[in-house]
Amino acid sequence: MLKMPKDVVVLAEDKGRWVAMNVFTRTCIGLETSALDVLRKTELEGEGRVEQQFENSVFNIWEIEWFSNYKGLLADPTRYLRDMDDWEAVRQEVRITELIKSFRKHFLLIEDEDEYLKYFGPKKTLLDYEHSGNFHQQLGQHLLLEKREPPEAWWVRQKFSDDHRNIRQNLYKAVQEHSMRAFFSRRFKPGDRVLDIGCGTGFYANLIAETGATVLGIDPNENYIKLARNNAKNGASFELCEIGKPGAMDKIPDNSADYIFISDALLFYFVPFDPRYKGDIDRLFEDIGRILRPSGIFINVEPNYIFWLLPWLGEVDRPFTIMTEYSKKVYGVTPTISQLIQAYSKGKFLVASMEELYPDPSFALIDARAYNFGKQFPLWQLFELRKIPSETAGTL
Amino acid sequence: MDVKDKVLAFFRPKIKPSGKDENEFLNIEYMDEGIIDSMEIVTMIVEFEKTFGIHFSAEDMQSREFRNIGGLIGIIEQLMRNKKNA
Repeated sequence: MLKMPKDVVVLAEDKGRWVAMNVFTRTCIGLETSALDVLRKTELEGEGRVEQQFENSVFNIWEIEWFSNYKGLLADPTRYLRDMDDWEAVRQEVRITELIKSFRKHFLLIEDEDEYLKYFGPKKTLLDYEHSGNFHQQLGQHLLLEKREPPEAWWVRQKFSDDHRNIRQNLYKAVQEHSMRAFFSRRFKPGDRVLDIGCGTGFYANLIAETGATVLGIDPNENYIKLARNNAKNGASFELCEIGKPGAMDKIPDNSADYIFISDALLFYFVPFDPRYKGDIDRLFEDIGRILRPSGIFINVEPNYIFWLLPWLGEVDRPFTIMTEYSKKVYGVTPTISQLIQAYSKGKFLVASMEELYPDPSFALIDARAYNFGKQFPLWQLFELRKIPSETAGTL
Repeated sequence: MDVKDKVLAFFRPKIKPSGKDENEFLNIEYMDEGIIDSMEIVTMIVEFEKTFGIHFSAEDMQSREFRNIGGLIGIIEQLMRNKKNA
């Protein structure tokens, strides 16, 4: 007997259409009203009876679901085609058996609750489609199998312009770059020594260098370091460094940095992109504590521990979202706030300040939905941390 | 060489001789058993697509059959039949 899991929500769209969405599996389909009626009726009256009743009917459905984060890590994560003009290309006229098959495919109707629950777990291999996996796994599967793209190239492309000198016109630019420019100009001054750990292609290291500070960017990716060196601004230098491996940062002298900056990297210490290579966060914090001068500041910018990857629902100017997990994450890949702060404390750092980052108002004209969501639900947070003086460490 | 021979030729060097008969061999779930890893699967897909002039769809790769050697051979043979009939 098919049943509709209580995880399904129905959203009203324009032109009398509906989106039926399973908010746990993040799957959905566009339906005309008569097809929506069948969804409920199948549960109430049984598949056989409904098939008989609608034997001669044809239904319009729209296969609007797609892995929208492919467009960018910060693209609309809601996973359906927003623009109704795009729906036409994915419209299907289906008979009742195909309609019910489609409901099952999108987890809008399920056969067995226990079987359904088994879906929510990590993928065992790249070919595993029987488990949802987390965001990283789904992204990897999508990139490698469906798009045949090397993930490393995608990570750079989705964030930076083709010449790697600018951030693309998306929430990265509107929130991160906008906030970082303002923060760097008030925080750094000429002569400051800054270490950027996990600098990637060096974009933020270069922005820091524009304040007159001297920046060393380090990253384990050789290609990123090559790009960073090609685009290096005056005051910025870049070194290849196997961050996270024992001894990798030993060549950086003690007390040699006034500031240490890390962005979008700590989350991978909690949920690694590849489970075989889990970094040692304690070791990382030990290195940061050693390299940072006693009154120095450790600056950490990370995706928000709640709102990143939640669907952007509601009116463009009146967003809402649905949260399905926090402490036990199946899909999410960010640590909880307590995990993060406990890691800081264990690493002998105290939170000096924290701010949530919001988009630049000018972005409202470029992508109103993204702007309004990011304005209501922050997508990043910035921590400033100070070293716990050694005489007080362990007495808190 | 037909599809089966070519696919078996791809996998044979990766599988330690263990006295497996052909049926056992065809039932091997090559990723679950760690015979090829995430990067090798991409190479394998591209290689088979090139060799046989086919394209695996997302649905092909999502199917249960794709995960074992025998199932994979069946999918390739079907895609080649579809190509011929197109």
